[in-house]
Amino acid sequence: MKEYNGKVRVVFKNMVVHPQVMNAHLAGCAAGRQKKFAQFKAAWWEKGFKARKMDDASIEEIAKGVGLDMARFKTDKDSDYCKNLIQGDMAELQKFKVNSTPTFFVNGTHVGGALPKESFKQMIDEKLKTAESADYYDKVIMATGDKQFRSKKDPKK
Amino acid sequence: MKSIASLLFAAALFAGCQNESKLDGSGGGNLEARVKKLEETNAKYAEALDFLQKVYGQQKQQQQAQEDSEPAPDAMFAVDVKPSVEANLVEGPATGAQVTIVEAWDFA
Repeated sequence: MKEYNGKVRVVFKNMVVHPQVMNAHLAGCAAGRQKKFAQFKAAWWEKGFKARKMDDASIEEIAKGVGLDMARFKTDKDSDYCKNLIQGDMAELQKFKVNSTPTFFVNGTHVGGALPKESFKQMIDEKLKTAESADYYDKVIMATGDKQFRSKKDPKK
Repeated sequence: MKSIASLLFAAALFAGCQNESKLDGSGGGNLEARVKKLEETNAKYAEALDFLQKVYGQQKQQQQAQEDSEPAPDAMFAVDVKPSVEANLVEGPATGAQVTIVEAWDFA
């Protein structure tokens, strides 16, 4: 990511496959409200998921550890905003028949599952050649792309 | 030469007429017996054929489902990222990136 000097961004969309981590998703949203989603995510993998500590108390401990304002964190975590965000993400992903994680879309191209780093890099480099402007995603992909899943049997409209 | 050829042709014709129908031939018995035997054989393998038919049907369905779920290679999926960007669920710049990777993400 860093080597691309701001030319690449990763946007995370919540896809709750395992209901037992729903609270972690809400917490991730709350961390995002304080612009600390990436830090929370990294800490979650180490101290939550890998340590098999996924209960509310552990989530709060992780949130505290990354320096979140805890009063605000709790309010945001329980808010309709975060619930709606997660539901909205899942509804959006459903339109594209996403049913497992990780699933990626690289400038609109579907990638099912994790790829080796080199393959990902190659794909990003290819996309950089064709994406002329910084608002390419909005101007080209959102404006002209497929708004829902299209299988290899469906012709391009 | 011509007479030899005619003789051979006549012999072949005669031999052809002498051949019994394969239905009445070496399998033993008459036509009814042979049909009965075929029916018995068919009944004997009916269950296996039925099973194979079911397996074939299932495999075809699976293949169909797989084809239905494979994205078109030329598809460019316009996943709406605006709510996620507004919620700061982004790594890298929120705006101004040439390449946007959308990751469907689970915390487990």
